[in-house]
Amino acid sequence: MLHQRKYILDILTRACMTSCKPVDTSVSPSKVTLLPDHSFSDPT
Amino acid sequence: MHAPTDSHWVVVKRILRYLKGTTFYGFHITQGSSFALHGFTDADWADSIDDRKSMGGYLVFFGQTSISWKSGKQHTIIRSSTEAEYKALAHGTAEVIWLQYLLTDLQVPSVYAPTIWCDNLGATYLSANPIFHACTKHVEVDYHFVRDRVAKKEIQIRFVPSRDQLADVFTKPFPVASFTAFWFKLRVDPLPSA
Repeated sequence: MLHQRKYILDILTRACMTSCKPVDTSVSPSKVTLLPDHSFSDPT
Repeated sequence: MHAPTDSHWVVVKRILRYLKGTTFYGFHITQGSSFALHGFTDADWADSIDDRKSMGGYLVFFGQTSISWKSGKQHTIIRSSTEAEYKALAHGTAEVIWLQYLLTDLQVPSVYAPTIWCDNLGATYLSANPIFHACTKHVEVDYHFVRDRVAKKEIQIRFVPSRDQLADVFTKPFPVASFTAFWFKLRVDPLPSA
Protein backbone atom coordinates (compact mmCIF):
# COMPACT_ATOMS: atom_id res chain seq x y z
CA MET A 1 0.00 0.00 0.00
CA LEU A 2 1.19 3.45 -0.96
CA HIS A 3 -0.15 6.25 1.23
CA GLN A 4 0.58 9.83 2.28
CA ARG A 5 -0.69 9.76 5.83
CA LYS A 6 2.22 11.72 7.26
CA TYR A 7 1.85 14.52 4.68
CA ILE A 8 -1.89 14.74 5.32
CA LEU A 9 -1.38 14.98 9.08
CA ASP A 10 1.36 17.62 8.62
CA ILE A 11 -0.90 19.78 6.44
CA LEU A 12 -3.88 19.42 8.81
CA THR A 13 -1.66 20.31 11.77
CA ARG A 14 -0.39 23.41 9.97
CA ALA A 15 -3.96 24.51 9.22
CA CYS A 16 -5.08 23.71 12.82
CA MET A 17 -7.70 21.35 11.36
CA THR A 18 -6.63 17.99 12.80
CA SER A 19 -10.00 17.56 14.54
CA CYS A 20 -12.20 18.77 11.66
CA LYS A 21 -15.17 16.77 10.42
CA PRO A 22 -14.14 14.69 7.39
CA VAL A 23 -16.08 14.73 4.08
CA ASP A 24 -16.19 12.08 1.34
CA THR A 25 -15.63 14.30 -1.70
CA SER A 26 -13.20 17.15 -2.38
CA VAL A 27 -15.69 19.43 -4.16
CA SER A 28 -19.42 19.86 -3.68
CA PRO A 29 -21.34 18.59 -6.73
CA SER A 30 -24.03 21.26 -6.37
CA LYS A 31 -23.54 24.25 -8.64
CA VAL A 32 -21.76 27.15 -7.04
CA THR A 33 -23.35 30.55 -7.43
CA LEU A 34 -21.19 33.62 -7.72
CA LEU A 35 -21.87 35.94 -4.80
CA PRO A 36 -20.35 39.30 -3.96
CA ASP A 37 -17.20 38.31 -2.14
CA HIS A 38 -14.90 39.76 0.48
CA SER A 39 -11.13 39.61 0.45
CA PHE A 40 -9.83 37.01 2.84
CA SER A 41 -8.79 38.87 5.98
CA ASP A 42 -5.54 36.97 6.61
CA PRO A 43 -4.00 35.76 3.34
CA THR A 44 -0.87 34.42 5.08
CA MET B 1 -3.80 33.21 -5.70
CA HIS B 2 -2.86 36.86 -5.38
CA ALA B 3 -6.35 37.96 -4.22
CA PRO B 4 -7.81 35.27 -1.98
CA THR B 5 -11.42 35.75 -0.87
CA ASP B 6 -13.62 34.20 1.80
CA SER B 7 -15.24 31.85 -0.72
CA HIS B 8 -11.80 30.57 -1.77
CA TRP B 9 -11.13 29.78 1.89
CA VAL B 10 -14.44 27.89 2.14
CA VAL B 11 -13.35 25.69 -0.80
CA VAL B 12 -9.86 25.15 0.67
CA LYS B 13 -11.37 24.12 4.01
CA ARG B 14 -13.51 21.56 2.19
CA ILE B 15 -10.36 20.12 0.54
CA LEU B 16 -8.67 19.88 3.96
CA ARG B 17 -11.73 18.08 5.36
CA TYR B 18 -11.57 15.71 2.39
CA LEU B 19 -7.86 15.11 3.07
CA LYS B 20 -8.74 14.27 6.66
CA GLY B 21 -11.25 11.71 5.35
CA THR B 22 -8.54 10.06 3.23
CA THR B 23 -5.94 9.79 6.02
CA PHE B 24 -6.31 6.03 6.33
CA TYR B 25 -6.53 5.23 2.62
CA GLY B 26 -3.79 4.33 0.18
CA PHE B 27 -3.08 3.00 -3.27
CA HIS B 28 -3.13 -0.75 -3.60
CA ILE B 29 -0.14 -1.87 -5.67
CA THR B 30 -0.20 -5.51 -6.68
CA GLN B 31 2.22 -7.69 -8.55
CA GLY B 32 0.86 -8.42 -12.00
CA SER B 33 1.95 -10.16 -15.15
CA SER B 34 1.02 -7.31 -17.49
CA PHE B 35 3.59 -4.68 -18.48
CA ALA B 36 1.09 -2.85 -20.68
CA LEU B 37 0.48 0.86 -20.37
CA HIS B 38 -2.98 2.20 -20.93
CA GLY B 39 -4.39 5.64 -20.34
CA PHE B 40 -7.69 7.45 -20.02
CA THR B 41 -8.17 11.10 -20.98
CA ASP B 42 -11.22 13.26 -20.46
CA ALA B 43 -12.33 16.87 -20.40
CA ASP B 44 -15.29 18.80 -19.08
CA TRP B 45 -15.92 21.63 -21.48
CA ALA B 46 -16.25 25.28 -20.35
CA ASP B 47 -16.82 24.09 -16.80
CA SER B 48 -15.36 27.01 -14.89
CA ILE B 49 -17.99 29.59 -13.98
CA ASP B 50 -15.31 32.26 -13.52
CA ASP B 51 -13.63 32.16 -16.92
CA ARG B 52 -15.27 29.33 -18.90
CA LYS B 53 -12.04 27.43 -19.25
CA SER B 54 -12.36 23.64 -19.43
CA MET B 55 -11.11 21.03 -17.03
CA GLY B 56 -8.94 18.26 -18.40
CA GLY B 57 -7.51 15.13 -16.84
CA TYR B 58 -5.72 11.90 -17.55
CA LEU B 59 -4.97 8.65 -15.77
CA VAL B 60 -2.35 6.08 -16.74
CA PHE B 61 -2.27 2.44 -15.67
CA PHE B 62 0.79 0.19 -15.72
CA GLY B 63 -0.79 -3.25 -15.76
CA GLN B 64 -3.42 -3.17 -13.00
CA THR B 65 -1.93 -0.25 -11.11
CA SER B 66 -2.62 3.43 -11.71
CA ILE B 67 0.77 5.15 -11.73
CA SER B 68 0.20 8.65 -13.10
CA TRP B 69 -2.69 11.08 -13.16
CA LYS B 70 -3.47 14.73 -13.52
CA SER B 71 -6.41 17.03 -13.09
CA GLY B 72 -6.20 20.64 -14.15
CA LYS B 73 -7.84 23.61 -15.74
CA GLN B 74 -6.86 24.01 -19.39
CA HIS B 75 -4.80 27.13 -20.04
CA THR B 76 -6.78 28.52 -22.95
CA ILE B 77 -10.51 28.97 -23.45
CA ILE B 78 -11.73 26.26 -25.81
CA ARG B 79 -14.74 26.80 -28.04
CA SER B 80 -15.83 23.21 -28.63
CA SER B 81 -16.06 20.14 -26.44
CA THR B 82 -14.22 17.99 -28.98
CA GLU B 83 -11.36 20.47 -28.98
CA ALA B 84 -11.22 20.35 -25.16
CA GLU B 85 -11.20 16.53 -25.32
CA TYR B 86 -8.53 16.64 -27.98
CA LYS B 87 -6.34 18.88 -25.85
CA ALA B 88 -6.72 16.46 -22.92
CA LEU B 89 -5.86 13.63 -25.31
CA ALA B 90 -2.67 15.42 -26.36
CA HIS B 91 -1.59 15.89 -22.72
CA GLY B 92 -2.38 12.24 -21.94
CA THR B 93 -0.49 11.10 -25.03
CA ALA B 94 2.60 13.08 -24.00
CA GLU B 95 2.51 11.43 -20.56
CA VAL B 96 2.02 7.90 -21.93
CA ILE B 97 4.86 8.35 -24.43
CA TRP B 98 7.18 9.63 -21.71
CA LEU B 99 6.32 6.62 -19.52
CA GLN B 100 6.89 4.32 -22.50
CA TYR B 101 10.40 5.79 -22.98
CA LEU B 102 11.06 5.37 -19.26
CA LEU B 103 10.02 1.70 -19.41
CA THR B 104 12.26 1.19 -22.44
CA ASP B 105 15.18 2.72 -20.51
CA LEU B 106 14.43 0.30 -17.66
CA GLN B 107 14.53 -2.60 -20.16
CA VAL B 108 10.85 -3.41 -19.64
CA PRO B 109 9.62 -5.17 -22.76
CA SER B 110 6.59 -3.66 -24.49
CA VAL B 111 4.69 -5.88 -26.88
CA TYR B 112 1.75 -3.68 -27.73
CA ALA B 113 1.47 0.03 -28.34
CA PRO B 114 -0.20 1.68 -25.32
CA THR B 115 -3.93 2.30 -25.68
CA ILE B 116 -5.53 5.60 -24.71
CA TRP B 117 -9.26 5.55 -24.02
CA CYS B 118 -11.26 8.63 -24.85
CA ASP B 119 -15.03 9.08 -24.50
CA ASN B 120 -15.38 11.66 -27.26
CA LEU B 121 -15.97 10.13 -30.68
CA GLY B 122 -15.00 13.34 -32.47
CA ALA B 123 -11.59 13.36 -30.80
CA THR B 124 -10.96 9.68 -31.62
CA TYR B 125 -11.86 10.33 -35.27
CA LEU B 126 -9.55 13.34 -35.40
CA SER B 127 -6.67 11.22 -34.14
CA ALA B 128 -7.19 8.60 -36.88
CA ASN B 129 -8.26 10.63 -39.88
CA PRO B 130 -5.46 12.16 -41.95
CA ILE B 131 -7.80 14.88 -43.23
CA PHE B 132 -7.20 18.05 -41.27
CA HIS B 133 -10.39 19.25 -39.56
CA ALA B 134 -9.24 21.83 -37.13
CA CYS B 135 -8.73 25.43 -38.09
CA THR B 136 -6.70 27.15 -35.41
CA LYS B 137 -3.01 26.93 -34.80
CA HIS B 138 -2.99 25.65 -31.21
CA VAL B 139 -5.33 22.78 -32.17
CA GLU B 140 -3.14 22.12 -35.15
CA VAL B 141 -0.10 21.52 -32.95
CA ASP B 142 -1.98 19.10 -30.67
CA TYR B 143 -3.52 17.46 -33.70
CA HIS B 144 -0.21 16.84 -35.44
CA PHE B 145 1.40 15.58 -32.25
CA VAL B 146 -1.24 12.93 -31.52
CA ARG B 147 -1.74 12.04 -35.20
CA ASP B 148 1.99 11.55 -35.65
CA ARG B 149 2.19 9.10 -32.71
CA VAL B 150 -0.85 7.19 -33.95
CA ALA B 151 0.56 7.02 -37.48
CA LYS B 152 3.87 5.68 -36.11
CA LYS B 153 1.84 3.08 -34.16
CA GLU B 154 3.39 4.27 -30.89
CA ILE B 155 -0.08 4.60 -29.37
CA GLN B 156 -3.64 3.63 -30.21
CA ILE B 157 -6.67 5.77 -29.46
CA ARG B 158 -9.89 3.91 -28.67
CA PHE B 159 -13.38 5.00 -27.78
CA VAL B 160 -14.75 4.21 -24.33
CA PRO B 161 -18.34 5.00 -23.18
CA SER B 162 -18.52 7.80 -20.62
CA ARG B 163 -19.72 5.42 -17.88
CA ASP B 164 -16.40 3.53 -18.16
CA GLN B 165 -14.27 6.65 -18.48
CA LEU B 166 -12.03 6.53 -15.40
CA ALA B 167 -10.51 9.98 -16.02
CA ASP B 168 -14.00 11.52 -15.59
CA VAL B 169 -13.32 11.87 -11.87
CA PHE B 170 -10.51 14.37 -12.65
CA THR B 171 -12.74 16.74 -14.61
CA LYS B 172 -15.82 17.50 -12.52
CA PRO B 173 -17.44 17.13 -9.08
CA PHE B 174 -19.40 13.94 -8.34
CA PRO B 175 -21.92 12.89 -5.70
CA VAL B 176 -20.51 10.66 -2.96
CA ALA B 177 -21.71 7.31 -4.39
CA SER B 178 -20.21 7.84 -7.86
CA PHE B 179 -17.07 9.44 -6.44
CA THR B 180 -16.30 6.55 -4.11
CA ALA B 181 -17.00 4.11 -6.97
CA PHE B 182 -13.97 5.72 -8.66
CA TRP B 183 -11.89 4.98 -5.55
CA PHE B 184 -12.64 1.31 -6.04
CA LYS B 185 -11.74 1.41 -9.74
CA LEU B 186 -8.52 3.32 -9.06
CA ARG B 187 -7.69 0.77 -6.36
CA VAL B 188 -7.77 3.17 -3.46
CA ASP B 189 -8.26 1.01 -0.37
CA PRO B 190 -8.29 1.45 3.43
CA LEU B 191 -4.86 0.96 4.98
CA PRO B 192 -4.53 -2.48 6.64
CA SER B 193 -3.62 -1.01 10.05
CA ALA B 194 -6.71 1.24 10.11
